[in-house]
Amino acid sequence: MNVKGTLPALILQTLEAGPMHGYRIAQEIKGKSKGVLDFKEGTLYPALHGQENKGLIEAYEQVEKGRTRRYYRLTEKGHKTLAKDRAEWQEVSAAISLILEGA
Amino acid sequence: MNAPDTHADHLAVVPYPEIGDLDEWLHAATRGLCDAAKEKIREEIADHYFATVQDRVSEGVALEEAQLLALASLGSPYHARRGFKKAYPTQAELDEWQTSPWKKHWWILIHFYAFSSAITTGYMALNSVSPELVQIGIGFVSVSLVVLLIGLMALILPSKSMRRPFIFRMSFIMALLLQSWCMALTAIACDDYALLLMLIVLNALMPYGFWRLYQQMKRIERVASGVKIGGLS
Repeated sequence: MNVKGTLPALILQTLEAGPMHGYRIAQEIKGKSKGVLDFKEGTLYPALHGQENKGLIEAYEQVEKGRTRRYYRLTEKGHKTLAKDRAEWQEVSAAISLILEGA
Repeated sequence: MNAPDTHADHLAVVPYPEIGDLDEWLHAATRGLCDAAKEKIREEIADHYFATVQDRVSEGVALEEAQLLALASLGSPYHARRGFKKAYPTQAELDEWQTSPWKKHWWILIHFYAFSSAITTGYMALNSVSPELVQIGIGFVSVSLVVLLIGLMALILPSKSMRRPFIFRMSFIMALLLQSWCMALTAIACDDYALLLMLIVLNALMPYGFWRLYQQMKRIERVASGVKIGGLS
């Protein structure tokens, strides 16, 4: 399933569990959706950097197994945006379910 | 769905025969971006790629096939590049910025553009509602047009080449503004209210152009000043 448009919200939701690097974020999204939500991993980084520009997440570097990796974590603004996105999604999702189940 | 597990599947999902390895993918994905952004993006995606290869190899996939699968999982470098261009300025934009006398005062230009656009829109609206107040509008137009021309000269003079993307975009917006002024002036004699309304609506779209320009300038300024952005520091 194409996650275009929802990837930023999925990233925020994934990072709520704690700081992660890009590869781990991609694995978490695919794993938690049991492979249903798929995306090309090269598109993850523009989304991450875009969210960092907006101040929703922040990056820091950490040495792991001898190599430097860039980790991302949610900012306060990111937490608020996630809460808003989640509420909007639940509202839209409930409305669509009502329509589809009534069909 | 999950990534394909066979070499044949891999070939089916890589529609870019010119992208044969990670270096070519990274080159295509970062082409034109500023050097600092290129370096950070390359490091981060290379790390991602090698982690994917490592995982595949640990699952028992042969190294060569693991590399092909890792490359396929990155998807289109051209699509990624479109995303990166929204986050980072190009090297040409950055170079232009470094030599621009406006680099510390660009927000003055943006506010000037926005003010100018608001005046023309207001004037046209005034003309459509109350033509007898046009004399007041003419005063606004005369003064603001002179200021606009001064701003246009200040913008064009520092540019060494109109082919540079940054100046091109700025000039494009200036051209739109100039056009809106011309429309405002012709509106004096316009008694077709439907046409006038259309001109007002067109002019009111200008704030979108300013907003895009503002975002672009912020990106350039942040990278140029070394402020941490998108992993740059």
